[in-house]
Amino acid sequence: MSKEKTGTDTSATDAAGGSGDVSVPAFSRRDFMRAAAAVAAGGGAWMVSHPSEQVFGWQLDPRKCQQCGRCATACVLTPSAVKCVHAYEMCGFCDLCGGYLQPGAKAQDSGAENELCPVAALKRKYVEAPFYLYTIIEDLCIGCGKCVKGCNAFGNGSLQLQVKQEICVHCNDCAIARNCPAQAYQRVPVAKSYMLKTLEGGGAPKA
Amino acid sequence: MQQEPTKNAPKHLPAWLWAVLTVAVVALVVVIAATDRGNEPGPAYKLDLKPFTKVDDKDVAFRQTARFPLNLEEPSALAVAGDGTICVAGKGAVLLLDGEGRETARHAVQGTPDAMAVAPDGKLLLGMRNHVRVLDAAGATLVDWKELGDRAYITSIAANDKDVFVADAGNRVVLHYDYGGNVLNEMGQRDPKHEFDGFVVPSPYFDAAFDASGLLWIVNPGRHGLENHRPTGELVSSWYRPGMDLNGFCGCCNPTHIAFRNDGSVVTAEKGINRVKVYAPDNTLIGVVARPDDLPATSDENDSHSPVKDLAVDKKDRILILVGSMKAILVYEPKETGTDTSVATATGRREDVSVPAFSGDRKP
Amino acid sequence: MRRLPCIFALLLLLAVAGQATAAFRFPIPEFESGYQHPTPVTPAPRLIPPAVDIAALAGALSITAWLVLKRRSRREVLLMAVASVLYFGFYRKGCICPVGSVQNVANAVVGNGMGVPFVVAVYFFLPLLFAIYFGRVFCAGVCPLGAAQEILALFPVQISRPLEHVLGLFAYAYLGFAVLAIYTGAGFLVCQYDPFVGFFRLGGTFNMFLAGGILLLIGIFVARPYCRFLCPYGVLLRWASIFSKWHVTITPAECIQCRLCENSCPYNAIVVPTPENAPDDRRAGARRLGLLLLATPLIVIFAGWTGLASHQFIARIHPTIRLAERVAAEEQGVYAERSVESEAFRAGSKTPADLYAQAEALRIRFKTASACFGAFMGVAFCGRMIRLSVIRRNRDYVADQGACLSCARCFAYCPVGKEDAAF
Repeated sequence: MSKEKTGTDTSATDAAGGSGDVSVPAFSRRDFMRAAAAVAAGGGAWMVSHPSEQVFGWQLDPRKCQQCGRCATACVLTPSAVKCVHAYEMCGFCDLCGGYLQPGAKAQDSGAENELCPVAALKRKYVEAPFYLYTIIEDLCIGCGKCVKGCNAFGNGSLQLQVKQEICVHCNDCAIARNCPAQAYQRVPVAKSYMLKTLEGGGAPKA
Repeated sequence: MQQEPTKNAPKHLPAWLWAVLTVAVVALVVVIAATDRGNEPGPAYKLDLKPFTKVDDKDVAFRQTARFPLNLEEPSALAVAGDGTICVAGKGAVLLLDGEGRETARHAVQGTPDAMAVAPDGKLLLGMRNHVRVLDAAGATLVDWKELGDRAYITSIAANDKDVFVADAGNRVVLHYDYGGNVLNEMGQRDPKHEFDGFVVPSPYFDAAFDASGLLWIVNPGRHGLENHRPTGELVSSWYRPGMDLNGFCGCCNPTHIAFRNDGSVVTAEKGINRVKVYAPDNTLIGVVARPDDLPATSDENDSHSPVKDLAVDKKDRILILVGSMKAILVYEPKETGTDTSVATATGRREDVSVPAFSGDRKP
Repeated sequence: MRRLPCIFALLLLLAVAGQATAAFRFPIPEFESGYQHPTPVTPAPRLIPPAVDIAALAGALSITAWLVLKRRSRREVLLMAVASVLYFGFYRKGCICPVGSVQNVANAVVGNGMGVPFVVAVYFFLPLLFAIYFGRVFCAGVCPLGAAQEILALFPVQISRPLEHVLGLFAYAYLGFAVLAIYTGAGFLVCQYDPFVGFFRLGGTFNMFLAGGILLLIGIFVARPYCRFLCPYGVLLRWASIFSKWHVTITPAECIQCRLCENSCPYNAIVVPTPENAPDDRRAGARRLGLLLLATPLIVIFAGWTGLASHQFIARIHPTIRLAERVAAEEQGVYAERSVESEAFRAGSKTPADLYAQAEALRIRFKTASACFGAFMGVAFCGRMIRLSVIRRNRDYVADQGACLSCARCFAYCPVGKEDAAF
């Protein structure tokens, strides 16, 4: 069918190839070019690709994070794939928690007016005097980092923002990374996709 | 296949409609571009601590009178010897300065001492993370006291003529030593009789100091206050003042450092909101020494918490602030000579004036 | 180029190791009640195996090609489009997609050299390979962006051919600009300004929703506005499809020139037969072509120069350049307040001088890129003009292989049956 077509009209597509020859051999120059183009494209794609390439995801470095709040708004997902993660081993289990209470809160309890979190995703539980456990309800957390800022400013920085890899859609170009003023985002191999500060990872400050 | 094909065929539109459509699209695009708010989150999603860092000029009772730059990396501890020599410890060295900040001697030290005290006879006691090292007045190592284990983190040493008190933030205890390096007592055990729950030390900031009358005061940072303990560990009196306002100690665990002036008033340093204040012996605030703006944090992650590495009061009753980010000692004196900042001599009268800024139910 | 990711990974490891050496342990409180603290929850990503992705694309392309070429069924192609919107769109949330893969490949070649994962390379290459043999079947029923617009093209109107050609140049501009952004490290613009992905993810910025909504609304009447006038991958597919071996034909057999299909294509992709009796002025045509060929280098140079001249302006798409300009303005006291970016920059260890130097290096890159972009647009423009000036003779109603999206609309208009093909 196609042979018949190329024979009968000089074809719109000949414009690109210049003056095409009208006589069509069994394996035409066009066929050859087509095959060559396919092989070249395939070869090129193979060249730039890395079959052994690790899969990379995105993660933010809590050491660089400045808690500007854009993790909550810049992510392509709503709510954001960034959530607050609590590295409990770094926590002081403080009564007066900079990440939990509004600065200048009138009372040190779980009253809504005293909570710092705008979506009430941080929960407080009494452990033993004078220690309290703080946990994050991930379904509520929007990743604004307000508590992280409070915890970093006054505490050990055990509350940290992290890209939750099971939520993240692994964009080509992370929208939050593009908007991060502190340039805290980087590509990480998915095998090691969390960058939590831990006791081993040098979290708390020196005296 | 042959059913009514023309029904869905594309139609031609008149030119004026095209023009209207084009204008509408262009207008929409312009509106979108003009109303682009970007990704800036609203104020509800941001924690703004700036309002808390503002200090009124009328609250500032001291002024900076000198600044001693230090030729020392990572300055970490400050102490004043009986003869007025200022000792500063940092990475690999201890510097001795005279009263005007001139370097008079330099002793090499292995490592970075986190804490330092000077014994009345001129010996230097250095807190080397998990043990105390004693240097003689010439800077030679005399002895290393016994190590305190993996958890130990010595953040402060207070020494008088016969006792040495070592604050270990890691184990949350204050150890009472004699000069032979023997532990006489461990302070910090829970003591229900005196309603003492132990020291709450969530981070490596834990200070102890003698006041002008020789009483030992230990910071209980998690409780946001100071406690006066007997060498036996018994809690004598205390005052706590949690709060973000100028009057209180902010954050999870403050003050980070204390030092006593000759009149019995206490100088306190805070992290989080970096400020240095002075409280009278009756625990009322006398005024601010250094405002947050005077104490710049560096970009170094370890430094941003507290640029104030140590506090001391020298022989002339000047307040010395060791600022890590500046690699300098800032010297403060009362603002005007006319203002009497000294409140009657410390008589040792210490009531338990625990002023809870937080009232009401403290259960979750 | 292949080594770069390895070096990158190594640097990453070193960085992690560096942090580990700064280890410091400050113990958590000792709980008298024997309380044990929980551990943080850090779940691994849910990754779809590459084989599944590749099989999905290859399968969808094959089925669409079969539906278009063998079954010749518009209804089935539409069903395929719905399936693609559901799977590639709503289930895979618009990612991974061949349209965006252009940037990954560009990044490997002219960008920072980061390797393209194998799946992405296949996603870039496979639709092109299909286009070389079967035409733009990817556009017809696989691409979720195209399929969504195809489904919504309910009352298509025809736009005039000159307008079609002018608007078509925007796709070249978008492609060129996307590559420019990759070369200069300014970001993946095609992903950033994907108008429909917000619908697939059921979330996104208000402006992109608005833009996507407007495009879909326009698309009800002007079918597939994104595909025809913006899609950067469509440019490549167009070029591959021009050479396609088994492209769809309007008629299953011999064209009887009944003119029934003439107005059936909303994409202006049907080439009408050259009128036999209208003697086109061959000489005038040849003269026009000659002039155009002569003017081409001048136009390309002018366009390149225009690009070069506007490089300062174009450079503002790069966040570092914007930051440098902002910081410089703040230093001069233009702004009373510091921006969030500037505040963050000043909290870091770099000095403004470092930043200016970095911006200057980037501007040089932008100079090259802007000039090349301008020249590319000149070439695209002249190519279009030359193609329009070349006199083509054809006797039948045929598909313009470059523009045809293989949507199968025109089949229903052809009175010639499949059974006629035998003769």
